[in-house]
Amino acid sequence: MNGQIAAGLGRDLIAPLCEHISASHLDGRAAVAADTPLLEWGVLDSLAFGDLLAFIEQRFQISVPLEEILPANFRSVEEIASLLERLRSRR
Amino acid sequence: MSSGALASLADVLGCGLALNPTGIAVREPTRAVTYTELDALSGELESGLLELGVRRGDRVAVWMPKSIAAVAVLQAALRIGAAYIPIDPSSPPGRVLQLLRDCAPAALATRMGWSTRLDAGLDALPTLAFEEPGEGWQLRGAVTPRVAGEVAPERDDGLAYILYTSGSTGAPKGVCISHRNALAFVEWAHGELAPRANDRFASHAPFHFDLSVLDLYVALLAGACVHLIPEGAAFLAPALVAFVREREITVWYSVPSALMLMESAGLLDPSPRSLRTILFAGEQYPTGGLRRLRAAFPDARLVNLYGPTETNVCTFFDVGELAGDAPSPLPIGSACCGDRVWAEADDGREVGVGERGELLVEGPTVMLGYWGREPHRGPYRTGDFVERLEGGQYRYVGRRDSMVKLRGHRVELGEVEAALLAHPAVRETAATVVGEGNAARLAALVVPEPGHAIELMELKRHCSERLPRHMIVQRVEVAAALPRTVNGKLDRAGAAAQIAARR
Repeated sequence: MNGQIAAGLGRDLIAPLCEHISASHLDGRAAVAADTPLLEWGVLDSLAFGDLLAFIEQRFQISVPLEEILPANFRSVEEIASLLERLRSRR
Repeated sequence: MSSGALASLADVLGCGLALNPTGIAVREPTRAVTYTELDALSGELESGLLELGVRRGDRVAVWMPKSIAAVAVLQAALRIGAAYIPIDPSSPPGRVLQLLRDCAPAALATRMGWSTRLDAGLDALPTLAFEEPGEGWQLRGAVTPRVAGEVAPERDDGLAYILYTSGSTGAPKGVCISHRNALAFVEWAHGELAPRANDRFASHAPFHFDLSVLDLYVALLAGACVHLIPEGAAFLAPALVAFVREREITVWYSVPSALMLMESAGLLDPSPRSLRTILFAGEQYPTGGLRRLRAAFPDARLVNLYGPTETNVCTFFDVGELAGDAPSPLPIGSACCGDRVWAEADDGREVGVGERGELLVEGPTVMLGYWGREPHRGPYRTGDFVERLEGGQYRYVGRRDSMVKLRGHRVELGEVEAALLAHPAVRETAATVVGEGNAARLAALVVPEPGHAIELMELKRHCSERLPRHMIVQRVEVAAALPRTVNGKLDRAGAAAQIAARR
């Protein structure tokens, strides 16, 4: 997955995701990088998922199916972007 | 089999098996097992644990996702007469190792990929490792031949499980619950809810949280089905609402935060007809939200359960009609499970109606004690201030110490502060909660060491190695000094006000 990101796929997703997570879940008081461990560091808690999924749907018109809402897919912005890229290519 | 005659938590699955051998016992999102299958799997895992050297009186740590396999491991440990310790699946390896060192288990049940994260800190702890994905498992470590005659469930005052809670001194405390403790609650709840084999219980709480004891054991005692909600979906409101509708859940038990989120995701329009009992515990349900729940579920029973982990559930309040002039918050109710509760004034006398005091609990649900410390004796002091109402009822007023609740999770602010103070840049700190309900955030006012900068992400990284996720600070503000009372004591209210003022 990360290989795809490095090759450029999903790059358009990374900046808006980082900005949104920083603004909504850290009150804009700290920056989020593509590889920041979002779950491990408690940046995204259990309550944050609803907001994040709504943002993804509204901003990228991608709805994440329930079976993809796994910790492994939301560990970092990189992982989220690669999930969204996979979902986008399925359409 | 009727309840009321059980001596061991290990007997509960047998009751369900006798009542409903071919019925579904536990359902995961994509798999399910019948009572007969769950019993057989528990038996296989029992053999596995015995091969690893687990014996009666030992402890088995369980660090794995909520799953059919996890339920079966708990049963396997109980059958041998060992106690189990469910560990938060999201805990960092450092904290898992801290708990393992504290409770010294004979074996660990975990995921194959997870056990490697612990290797550095384990001196060959025998491990039952489950594949992911898949249903297979492997034994790792000292494999010993099975010894006959050492297998019999513990009963009565024997240890059934240990639940770790946040400790004010910085180290988590292991609450030791006996079979008698657990069964006093399970049998009371079974009698009160009168579940049937065709009931479908949602299991929302993780297994290291004591709310899960009702979901699992009351359902298994009745031969009913437990529908596991995976950790990742526990606060995903649209998924939870869809889950309740699709699975036609009949009994729901969770913290109020989850129910309030579900309300915002359409739980009440229209309300699912299947739900006949809704229970909540762990924090106050704001009366406004409860009123809407009441109106949307006119025929369902709404019940508030109360009790710290140390006493499991010791009071309950049946919400009933909820009159227009009902007080807010509602009472925590009156004693249950055979317990006696009362409120004590500062001078040690029991308070009268209309007065306030600390709630004390005595009876069959009161824990054996904290692991590694002197056994607990006498009534348990909850640290909760209550007001005594008419008719043996009590109303929660507040805490007497620095424990807070975040979405039902108990957080000792002292433990959060101890973790922050372990960082070289932190000289002094006061942790607090800002905001209310689902908007509540764990925040800290920090006085930096001279020459050090305070960075939120760096402190989060640091805390993530020491604390479970719900205890990682979410907001940090820097101060030149901490607010103190005239006596020099830390002024937490002042710290909270300073943080709130910086918004």
